[in-house]
Order: sequence, then structure tokens, then C-alpha cells
Amino acid sequence: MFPFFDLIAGTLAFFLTLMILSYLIGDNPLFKIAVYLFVGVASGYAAAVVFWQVLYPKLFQPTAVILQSGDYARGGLLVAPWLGFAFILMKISPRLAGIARITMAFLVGVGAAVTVAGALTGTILPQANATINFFDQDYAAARNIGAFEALGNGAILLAGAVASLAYFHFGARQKTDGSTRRFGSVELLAWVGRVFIGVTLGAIFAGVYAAALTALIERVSYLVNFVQSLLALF
Amino acid sequence: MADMIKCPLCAAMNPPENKICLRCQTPLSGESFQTGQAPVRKDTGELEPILPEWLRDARETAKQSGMGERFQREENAQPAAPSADLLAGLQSQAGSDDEEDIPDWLANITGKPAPKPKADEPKEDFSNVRWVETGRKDDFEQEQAEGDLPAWMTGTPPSVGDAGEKDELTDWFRESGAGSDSIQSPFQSMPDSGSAFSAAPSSEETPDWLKQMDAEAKKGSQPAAEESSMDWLNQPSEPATDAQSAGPFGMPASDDLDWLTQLKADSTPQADASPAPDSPNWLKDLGAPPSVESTPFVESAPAESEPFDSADFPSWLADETSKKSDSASIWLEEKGEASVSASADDAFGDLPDWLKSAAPQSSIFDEPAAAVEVQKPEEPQAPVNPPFETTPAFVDDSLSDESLFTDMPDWLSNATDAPVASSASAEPAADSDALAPNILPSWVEAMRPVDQAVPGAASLAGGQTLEQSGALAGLQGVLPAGMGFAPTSKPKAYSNKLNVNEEQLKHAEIFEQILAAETAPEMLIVEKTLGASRGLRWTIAALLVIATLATLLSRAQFLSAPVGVPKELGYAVAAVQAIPENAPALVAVDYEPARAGEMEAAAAPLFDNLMLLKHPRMTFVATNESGAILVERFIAGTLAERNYQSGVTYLNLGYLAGGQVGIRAFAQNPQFAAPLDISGFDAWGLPPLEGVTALNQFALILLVTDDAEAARAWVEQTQDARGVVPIVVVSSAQAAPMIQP
Repeated sequence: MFPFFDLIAGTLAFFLTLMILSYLIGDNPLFKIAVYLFVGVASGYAAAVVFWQVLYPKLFQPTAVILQSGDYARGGLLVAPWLGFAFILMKISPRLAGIARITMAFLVGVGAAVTVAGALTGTILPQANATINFFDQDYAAARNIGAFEALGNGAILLAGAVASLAYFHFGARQKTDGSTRRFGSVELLAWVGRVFIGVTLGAIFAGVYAAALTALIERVSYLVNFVQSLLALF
Repeated sequence: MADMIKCPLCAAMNPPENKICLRCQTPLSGESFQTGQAPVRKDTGELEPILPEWLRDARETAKQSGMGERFQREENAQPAAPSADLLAGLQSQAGSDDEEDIPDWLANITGKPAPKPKADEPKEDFSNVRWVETGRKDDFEQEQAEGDLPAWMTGTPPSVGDAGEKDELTDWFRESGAGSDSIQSPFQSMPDSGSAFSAAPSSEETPDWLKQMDAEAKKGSQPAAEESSMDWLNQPSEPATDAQSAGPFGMPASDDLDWLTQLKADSTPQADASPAPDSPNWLKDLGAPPSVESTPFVESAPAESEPFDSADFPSWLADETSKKSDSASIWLEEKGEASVSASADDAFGDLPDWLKSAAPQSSIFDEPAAAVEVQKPEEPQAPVNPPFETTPAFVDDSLSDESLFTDMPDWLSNATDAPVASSASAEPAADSDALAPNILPSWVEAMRPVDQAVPGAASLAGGQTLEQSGALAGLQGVLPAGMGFAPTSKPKAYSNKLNVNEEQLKHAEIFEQILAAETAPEMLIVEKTLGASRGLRWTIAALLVIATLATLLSRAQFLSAPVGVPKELGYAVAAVQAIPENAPALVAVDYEPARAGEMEAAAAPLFDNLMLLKHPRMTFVATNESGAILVERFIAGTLAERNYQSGVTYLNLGYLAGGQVGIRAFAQNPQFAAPLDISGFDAWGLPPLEGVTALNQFALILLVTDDAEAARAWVEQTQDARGVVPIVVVSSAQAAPMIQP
């Protein structure tokens, strides 16, 4: 027995799913209505989440507490977010939009620093270690991987990494006839790297297709379940 | 040598008391010669008021200049001679009242005898020998001009009759004698007794060209030269040889110029007479019928002589007057072209030397024929006289009549037209006893200043420049237009067509083709590819929907489940099963609602295994806005059977803002980054987070994401904070290749 609200929600979800699937016949108003509705609801929900989960508990409520308690010494850290908030609001006026650059510069600078540091310590070095570890027999034995398998995996991984990097090496030397061409070894590695890149992109596309097909199956399953539930009611 | 008089003909020096040359019997006084009539004094002072303004100004100027003294002296010595012409009155007036001086040239023009120089007049040295006609040699600034002029212009005209008188015909005669070698000068044909021209001038004083002419004349002395009479003129019908040899210049030594009168009477025989080939054209035309066309003398003589009685005329003119009621120069008028040249020379010969030089040879007297025609349009226009300097008195036989008269200056040709006008105006002039300005002689008219003449359009019609200012103001054609200064008729027309050859045409065609190729549209080669047509789309959609529905509705398993478990799954299961019982586990959710079905399906088995085996205290945190609600949906939906309760067995910290920065902040200080749960309560005091103050205090980190970037961010930013805490990632199929290994 469906609750009333579950019935309404299930009915809306059913029709909205059909409206999205109507894209099979091309761009149509039903599809657009469904898309706009999702975009609007998602934006509204995001704004509500940001306000209730970020601004209010981390800015407005502490400020209000400090203002109510009169302990302004605790509110020293709240000056920075309030200043950043005020500067960002300056973008409303074109004449004062330059002030917002202070906040934006701070955000971009901090974000870039965090990203570079994280990429160095979290991606480049671990990836290098992982590539090297494939040639570590002890490491392979600890993980119950055979030596030949580990060596083969390591060789493929190394060849793929080197060949893919070589594909993006565009250094070349000018020939006597004026044309430019990469070195022969680099050209060969680049061709191998192109194979690895193609395989990788094919796997990514297969994963995208698998994810989309999974979503379709989930939606069709929902529709079948909803219809079956309705039929069970009557 | 001072006070010696130089004979104008033979250049012999004569005592000042002599009136005729001792060598050639040429009158030395320079007075005009009047044939057959003695000059009669006539008071012409009444003509003074009617003189043109410019002439009166000229007289005033002459009086004021240095020449005035000379003129005054001569006029004082000369008695006032009656004259039959206009200018004679000037001389008379000058002699009567002594108020104005009349130059000799004006007095000579009249034909009246010039005043004889006083015998007691102080004589000058030889260098200052007086010229018979024009006065002293340096009286006027014509020395240089005289050198360019023939002797008949610069010298003293020989007097045929009275030695003490001067006639305007003397110049004419002199010209005839000097200008031709084929025609014997009448003076050369004079008998030995008295012909002054028969004697050659001294070689020292005679110009070379004159010497040459004289020598040639001697060599070619014709029989007619031996004739002492001018009967040749009375017999114009004689053979050409006689006419050639004698001609008008075969004038006998006798002083009578009756030959002129006979010319008229014998005009008919003259017409029959064929001129000799050597004779000039104007001489050839002597025998032509008398023409009513004007002659240069007609304009000067008749009008000027009208106010006077016929008795005042010279004898040679009086005879003509008796035969004809017209003016005294009709004899020349009737002679037609023959008189033209002679009259032209006379008209010019009457001018003083300074005026000759001042008068442009072809300009000031170049009064256009049109201007003359205005005065007498009914009269035929006389042939144009040849220019004065360029045309000798006797031209070669090769020159035709046309060339002769077309080369004559305009002022001479105008003079030929003047008699008619003067004849027309003769009667009124006689009635009023005065001369009207419009009947002035042509040469006088030509000398009039421009501003008093017809505005320059008429004179400029001849293409000659009319000087407007300066010393030459009023003179026309004095300065010939040089190259580049003469006005051109119209600019040269150039064709706007481009002349090109074949090669240039080929090049132009190639260039046009290049330009056309640049602007021509180029067809794009589009490879045919398999597009997403509607049929294909419908077909694919139908296959997928049918396969899904068939599987769901039939609940049949068309494909067998994969055998074995991937190593990654084994690693994850091993890591999950390695955590202690009821240990805190952190679950980071970062996927979109659209991927909820896939992510929930992928994460449900792991979470079921974990909850069933380890009963962990799970803390959920989301790095996107919709993650918190998806966590509630996942716990309440897929994991509903596990009966997890919020705040007791699990805790939803909600949305973690700031992306990588928020993740890093949470990794460094979880309590500060996410102090509250989704319900707003202090999360770090609740049972799921009991004993946990840092990230590394979690037993397990599970990452559920469909975005490789989110997985990388969590891996990278928590690398230092998590320590040895294993991290297990449940990813979407589209992000798995990017997240592995």
C-alpha cells in the first residue's frame, strides 16, 4: 500500500522519467520541462544546503552568538569570512567590482596551492611508487602476486606510462628541407603511447556507457516496479 | 671738318653753304620736294585744337626733351611752309606762334619744304654732320637702329626737283634705287650732268651692303639707265624689258614728275603690259587697271589736304587734283598695287628715324584689317603689304604678288584702305575745315596709344601682344611672344584608352584569374559518416528498452554472472573485513543524483558486507550539495534492512564546502571543518564519533564517487592526514578507469 505522498512522488517520478526519455524523438517541450525542473530544483536545494549547512552554522550563528554574548574576542576569526563576504558582494556594482578581486585572489591562490601540493604528494609520488612496486618482488610476494606476473604487469605499466608520456612530447628537429619531425625513437614511443591512450579512452567510454546503461536499467526498473505496484493496488 | 654737310646719297662732304651736293647734285637741305609747285605759306594753327591728344602730348614731350632745342633751332631757321596735309599745319603753327616745336619728320611728312638751315648757323665737326633730312646724326637715338636699316631709310632722301625741298616720294625713290639691282635707280640713270645718284658714294662711308648693291647696279646698268627722261613711265605699255629696265625708277633727271600723272592716263596700256620677270610685283602691277582700292597715300594725302585749296597742293598733286575731284593722291590710288608698296615705303619714309625705330616693324602698324574694315566695310581690302624690314623694295621674281602683299605689315595694308575712308570723310572735313580723329592716316592711327584706340581686342586679334604698361605701353607686337609663353589654343587631347600588347594582356588575364580564384567559393569535402539519424536512435532505444523490460518482467537471467571476483574487489573486501568490530568508519559521498542508481547498486554489496560483519559506526560526509540527501536516501533505501539510525549508529555530517580546500581542512581538523551534523547538532559528541578527533582515528575510509577528480582530491588531500588508514573507493563505471589503480 503506497502512502499518499509516495503515490504522488512515484507518479511525478514516473512522468518525469518518461519526459526525459522522450528525448528519443528529439528535443521536445516535455524534455525541456523536465530538464528545467531538475535544474531549478537542484539549484534551490543546493542554495538551501549551502545556507543551512554552511553559512548559517559557520557564519551567521557564531556571529549571532558573539553578538549576543558580547565576547568579541572569539569573533576575531569571523572577520575574515565577513570581509570576504562583503567583498564578493561588491560585484553587484561594476564600479566596486574590483574589490571582489581580493577575495577571489585569496580563494584561487589557496586552491591552487592546495591542489599542487595534493597532486604532488597524493598522485605523482604514489603513482611512481605504484609503478616501481610492480617490479618489487617482495611487494608482489606480500600481495600474493607471482614474480612473472608482477614483472609483466610492471613492464606493461611502465611501457604504457613511458609511451603515453612520449606521445605528448612534441620536441622535434628541423631537417634540411625545412620540415620538422620528431626523433625516430620518440616517434616510435609516441605511436605505442597512442595505442595505450586509445585503449584507456575506450575503457573510459565503455565505463560511461555502462554507467548510462545502468541508469537506464534503474529507471526502467523503477517504472516497472511503479506500474506493478499500481496494478497491485487495483 | 666740322660744319660740313654730308651728302645723304654719295656721302660726300660739302660746305655748309652748299644746297646741293657737289658730287651728285643731291639737295643737301633735306627739304621736301614739291613737284611743280612752290610751297605756299599757310597758317594751319587752327588745326592745332583738333590734333589728337596723344600727338599734342608727344609734341609737348619733344619740346621738353633735349630734342626740343634742336627742333626749336631748326624751326626758327625754317620758315613756315604751307602744307596740304594735316601735319603741315603743325609746322606752320609752330612757325607762326613759336609756342610748339615741330620735329623735322613732321614737317617732312607734309611735303612742304623744310626750313633751310641758316647759313650762319654754327657748324659742327664732321662727326656731327647734319643729315639732310633727319637733322643731325645724333639728334635722335637712332644710331643703332640706322645701322640696321637700309640707307634709304636712314639717309637723306634725294630730291629730284627742287634741291631745297623734300618730298615724301623721295624716300620711295631712294628705296627703289637701293633695293633692287635689277631696276636701275632713276638717280643712277640720271645724266652725267646732274644725277646725284649716278655717283657712287665713297667706299669709306657706304655700308657694305650698299656697296654691293651699288656694284651690282653698275654691272647691271641697263640701257634704260642711260635714258635721261622718265618717259618710261609715260609708256607703261612698252615691253616688259623696257619696264623692267626703266620702271618708275627710270626717272629722268628732269625735275618734273609728270610721269606720275601719265601713269593714270596710260593705265589701260599698262594693264596690257607684261611686267618683266625681274621687276617686282608691284611694278608688274603698274600696268594693271586702276584699282579703287585704297593706297597708303590716300589716307594721308586726301584727308589732310582737304581743308586746303588745290592751289596749295604740289604740282604733281595738283595735276592729279585737276583730273580728279578726289584728293591729291588719287594718282597713287589708281595705280593699285603698284602704289601700295611705294606708298607704304613713303608712309614709312615720312616717319622720322626715331619714330621708325620706335614703331614696331610688325606690330604698331599691324592694325588688323578688320579694324580697317570697320571704317570702310564696303571697300575691298587691299593686299597686305610686306613687312617693312623683311621685304625689300624690290623683291625677287620668285615672289608672287600674293606673297608680296601678304607679307606687308598691316599698317601698310591699312594704309591702302584708308583713302576710301578718307574720301568718305573728305567732304565733312572740308566743310568743317578741320580733321576728324577718325580720318587720321592709318600710320598715325596705328601710333595712337592703346587707351585712345579701339580696345585691344581688335589689335589682339592678330595674335600679337599688346603692351599694357611700361615704356612700350600701347605698342603691339613689340616683344614677340617666345616659346612657351604664347597662349596655346587648347590643351592637347589624350586618349583614355590603354595601349597594351599581347604579353601585357596575358599577364593581366593571369592576374585576373588569381584574383578570381581568391574570391571563388571553395567546396568543402565532407566525409560521409554514420549520423545519429532518428531511425537509428529509435532502433537503439527500442532494443535497450525491450531488453531491459524483458529481463525485468521475465526475471530471467539471460547472461551468467561473472565467475570469480576482480582483484580490486578482493582488495576492498579484505580492507573492509580488516577493520575492528564497531570501529568508526568514515564514508565520503560525492556523486550526482543521476548516478544514484548505479552508485547505490555498486556500494550496496560492500556496505552490506561491512555492516553485517563489523557493525561499524559510520560517519557520512558529502563534498557536493546533494550528497547529504543521497546518503539519507541510501541508508533509508538500500540499507534499510540494516536498520541504521541517525545519530546512534551512523552520523550524517552533511555538506563539506570548499572542494579540495574543504577536504584538506577536514583531513587536518575534522572537528573544526564539520562541527555539526545535518540536523545542526554537535556531531563530535555523538556516539558515532566517539573517541575520534582526527582523520587517522577512523578505522576505514570509504569513498563513494562517480567523479575521478573527487576521488583524486580525497586521495591527495588526505594522504598525509589519514596515515595508514585504508581507503576504499566505490566508483562509477565511468570513473573507474581513471581512478585505478
